[in-house]
Amino acid sequence: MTSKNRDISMDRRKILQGMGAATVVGLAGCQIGGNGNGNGDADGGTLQFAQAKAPIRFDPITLNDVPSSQVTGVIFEGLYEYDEATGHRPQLATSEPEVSREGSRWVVELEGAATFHNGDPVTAEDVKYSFEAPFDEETENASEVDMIDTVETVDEGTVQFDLNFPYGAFRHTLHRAVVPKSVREETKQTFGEDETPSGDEEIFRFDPVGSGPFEWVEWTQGDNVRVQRHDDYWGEERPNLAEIEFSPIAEPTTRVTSLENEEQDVITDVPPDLWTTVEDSDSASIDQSPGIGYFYLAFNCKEGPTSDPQVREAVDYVFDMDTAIENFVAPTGVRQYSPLPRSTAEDWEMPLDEWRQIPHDKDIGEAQSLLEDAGVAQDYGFRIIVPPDDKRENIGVTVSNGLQEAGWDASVQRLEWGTFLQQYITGSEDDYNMYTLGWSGLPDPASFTFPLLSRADEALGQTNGTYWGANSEAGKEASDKFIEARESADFEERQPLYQEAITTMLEARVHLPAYNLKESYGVDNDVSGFTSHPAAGFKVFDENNNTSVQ
Amino acid sequence: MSGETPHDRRDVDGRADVEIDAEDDGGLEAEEVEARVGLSYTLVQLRRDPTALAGLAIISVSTAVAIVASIDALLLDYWLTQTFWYHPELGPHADTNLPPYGVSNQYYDASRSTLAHPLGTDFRGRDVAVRLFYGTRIAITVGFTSTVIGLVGGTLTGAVAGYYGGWIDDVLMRGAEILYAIPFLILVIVIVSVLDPQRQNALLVAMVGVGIASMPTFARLIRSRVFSVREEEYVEAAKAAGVKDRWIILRHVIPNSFAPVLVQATLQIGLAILIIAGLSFLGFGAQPPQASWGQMLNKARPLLIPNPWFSIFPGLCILFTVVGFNLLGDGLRDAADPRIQN
Amino acid sequence: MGLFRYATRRLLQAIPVLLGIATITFFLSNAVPGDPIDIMLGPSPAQEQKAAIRAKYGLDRPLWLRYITYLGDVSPIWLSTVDGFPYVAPEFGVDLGRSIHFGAPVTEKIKERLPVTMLLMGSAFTFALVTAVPLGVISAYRRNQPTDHVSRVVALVGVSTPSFWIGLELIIVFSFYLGWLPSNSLVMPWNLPPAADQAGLLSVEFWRIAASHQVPVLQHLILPTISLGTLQMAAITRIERSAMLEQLSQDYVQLARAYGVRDRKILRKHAFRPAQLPVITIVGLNLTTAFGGAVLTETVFSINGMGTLILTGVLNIDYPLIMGTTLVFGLIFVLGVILTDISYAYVDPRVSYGDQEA
Repeated sequence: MTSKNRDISMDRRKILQGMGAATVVGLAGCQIGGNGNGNGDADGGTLQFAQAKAPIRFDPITLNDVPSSQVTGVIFEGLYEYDEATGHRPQLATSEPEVSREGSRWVVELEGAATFHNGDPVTAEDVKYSFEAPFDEETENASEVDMIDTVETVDEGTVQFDLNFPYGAFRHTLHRAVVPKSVREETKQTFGEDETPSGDEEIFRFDPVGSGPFEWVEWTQGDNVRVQRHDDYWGEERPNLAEIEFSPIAEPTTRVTSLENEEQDVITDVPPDLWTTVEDSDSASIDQSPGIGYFYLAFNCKEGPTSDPQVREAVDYVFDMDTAIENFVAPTGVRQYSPLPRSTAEDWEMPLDEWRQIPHDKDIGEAQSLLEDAGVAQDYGFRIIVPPDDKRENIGVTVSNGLQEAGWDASVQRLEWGTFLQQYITGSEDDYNMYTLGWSGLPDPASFTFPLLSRADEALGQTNGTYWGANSEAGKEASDKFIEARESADFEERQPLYQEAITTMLEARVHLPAYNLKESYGVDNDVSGFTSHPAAGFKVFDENNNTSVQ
Repeated sequence: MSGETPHDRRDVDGRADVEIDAEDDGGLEAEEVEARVGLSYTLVQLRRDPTALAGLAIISVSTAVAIVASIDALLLDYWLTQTFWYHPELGPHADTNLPPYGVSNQYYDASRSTLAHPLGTDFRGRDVAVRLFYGTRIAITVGFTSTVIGLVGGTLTGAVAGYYGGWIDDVLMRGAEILYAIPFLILVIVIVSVLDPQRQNALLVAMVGVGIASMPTFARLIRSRVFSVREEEYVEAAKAAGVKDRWIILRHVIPNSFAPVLVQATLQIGLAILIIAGLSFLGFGAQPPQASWGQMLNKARPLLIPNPWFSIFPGLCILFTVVGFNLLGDGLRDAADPRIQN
Repeated sequence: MGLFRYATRRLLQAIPVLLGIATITFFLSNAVPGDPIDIMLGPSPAQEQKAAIRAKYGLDRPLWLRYITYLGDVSPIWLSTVDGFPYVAPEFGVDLGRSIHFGAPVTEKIKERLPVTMLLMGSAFTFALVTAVPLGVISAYRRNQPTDHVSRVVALVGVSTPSFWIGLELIIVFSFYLGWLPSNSLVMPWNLPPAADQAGLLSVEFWRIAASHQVPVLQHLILPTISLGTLQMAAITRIERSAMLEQLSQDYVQLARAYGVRDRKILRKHAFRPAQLPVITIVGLNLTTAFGGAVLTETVFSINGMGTLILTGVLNIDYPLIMGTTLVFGLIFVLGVILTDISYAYVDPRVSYGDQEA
């Protein structure tokens, strides 16, 4: 398996793991809006949707992979959803949240009419449950809600969140999917348990009940998932689509072929090599949005030559990142000059032009003299580890070729995810000098800085930032700024902290930011009303979109 | 085994099985014939067989290429190829994904193709022809090495089992059966994951793994031959004269079983090449940037549509080389078995 | 020895083999470096949580204890300790454990995937036999004539071509350029569309739907079948040819010829049946190699079968999944070999159910 597909979900998973950050999964449901103004065509047909990987489980409390969240996205809803861009609009809530106590208390009013697929109303108790369960059940998603101190139900239709500290990105956390407490309590199944509490045959994660416009049908052999329009959907409009069928097709060529054959209506993850094939196709086109992600080359700042900033700068000189991205990533992704996705950086008024000037063009001579100055032995062999993903492997190979050109030995190792994840955090020179990795998250700087570059307890021992901070004063200061900025809800206070700390990080070349992938879908021309979305991935049904297939 | 295989797992002549399982069922006669012919007879017969000679020619060419490439890589640090050609592992030499000379692909039309890269370039701009040339080195190396491992290990096991019989035979043959029952592509994948999670020497591990996995084939073959040789007069005589068992096995039993083993080994080399190509294709064999055919096919997968050429040549190379070994193996088999002679 | 006794004996002999497979797979898969819990949790797991999850999967216990437990779980009958050592009670049933990656019982995953692989392999072997047997017979009968040469070249190329490469090229030509056939996944013949259920088993409508459902089933099967089956086809052709040649050179054939029996009749009446022995052997033995081929074919055609399941297990360091799938492969293989031996008798009455183990 060429694991282009695999790792996409792994990247996402990182968000999911992104400490203190809500995630794409947390946003489950955000793509569905209740108050669409589509015309509700009764038979919009069946949408065949090819995923890059098979989903695993459909319980929003425990799931943490992209394919599963693509499915739950149409079944569940959150308090809020994203608008056309990364703004927020109420979904199960009636209005904007009321924020008080300097951003550590959030009060949300619920939509009274909302019901789950089984007819039960969506209550404050369900919301409370949905935000507490990930932590109480010690799920993998616990870190996404651990900034919440208490959740109280003020009354049937009002929920109050009290946070441990003013958390800047909490608006995004409020996008988490709401599950029916009574149903899930009876049929939930946590790790390793065989039985549901009720002894029921139907297990929640394989038989989910939500409040969204589509309801669960089945997960058939061959891993196809079917959902159908919920005819008693509480919103004013109904989806046009009668049914959506999700099929996992791991191989990109096969995925594109099945789009061309019109076996599939929508495919995810169009790879760079097939981009023009789909673009030039008579029967399909590409729908794309900028994504919320960050792919980078990172250095071992704890041990070995790369703990010296001069060596890291030399590595910057041995290759040209712009060209590498142009060759191996475009057009599925775009060059990115900082840890923040462009749209987030722009929203946050970051000095993008200044940052763009930081990386060097290729200059082997300069690299050689820096490496010699730094006293790197001529027989030293650099080790670059990469996850099983062609794009990142190609960047690793480009760096290694550059180092070889400069006269040093360098090797690239493509590791399986299991091995990679164990190795990149060791900080041992024997394991790696450099690695390439990706992270995706919420459209908030906290999502991209805190887990990757801070020295906070939660991140300690897990991120490269640890080692950077440990052996440099500048690093420690920047780390403190990242932590401080996360625990504030005040834009004016946070913005300069992020700007300074990121600039320091870029100049010290702890990471060499590389690229960001687009949210891109190959869409058959018979499909209308389907759109890609930067934060939600895609939307099939909301205020502005109502997908149908001719 | 990339599914690959089997013709010949046991069939030095399709007959081996019947003999093993339904012992003595008419097998004796054949054994007598076998004993008479032996290795030298086989080789003499071979010279008259055009298909075997064709196979031998293919193998010679491949082996010669592999030797040149190995000398260049190991002793000269790619001096030879870099001087006259391109480095097989470093790129780029040219634009990426150029089509072969005279044809076009989705990226370029035929006018962009160049004789400098007769088979085009790959996704990293490396010359495909040079990489194929170097791929021969890996294919031939893994083919021979893994077969030698399987041959030596399997021959010893089989000889010991067959010679001593009794519980030793039982234990060893059960062991072989167990190894045999695990699909061996999977066995090798697991072995590679266990021994080399970082895939630094994945190719080496895969080679050893395929060797181990092929041991039962040789073991069974040798064992069945040993059963007949064991009863020969000269072995009885040696035994009576107090010659050590070890010596008897090495000096008499193994050499007398050599013809069928040679046939099997030749076929096994082709098979090993196919299997390792499959492993590399799945990512458990040769690692990038090593130029191996399976690895090239793996990298060709995302490019099947825009640049189909890239997937065609490595496959043809595998086909060509393996055909060589199969031709020679067939020739050897026919030569070793006079009953099928005209 | 009678058929029944023979079969029983072979089955008993299979037990140590299966035990051996279970042992090898257990220790091999536990030696796979990497922590499955790390993979499950992603890059930054909370430590306390990790310990709890490890305990849930029993990964905190010593290896030998896990081994004993594992053997107990996979054996249909086993003595298990009840409330501590001195009290033991028989334990029935097979439990392959719970997949770490899927979070579902391994048996459930296998039940779901095995039919897919069986369909693929069944189809590949059917294709192989239907083409190879006539080809081999004709080739032997028309020895050294053009037909023979063509069939030998086809077989030679067939055994020398990597199956996954055939698959890749078939996809380019038939799926992409010609657009004739689908290039991914299989459709199960019995997974009828919902309309069939509504129609009811007895209605004409049901059978019409069921029949038309077989069209996509076949369409999806064609390319993977050719990809996986070509090698088997070639291998069987070669065996068939040499076995037929051997039979044709037997004394009884010469004798029959001398009596003026027509060649065609000799072929049909006498030579054909005994020549099938090696073919049966090869089919039985090739089960394992074909499983290996299935891993590649399933990868190339994105088929969710046992092959991709086992790869998922290896890539995610999912011990129970690796062990369970390998064990099932082993079981099928062992049964396949036994069936092969038994079926000898039907083909060649001269073979008795003697002590064939030598």
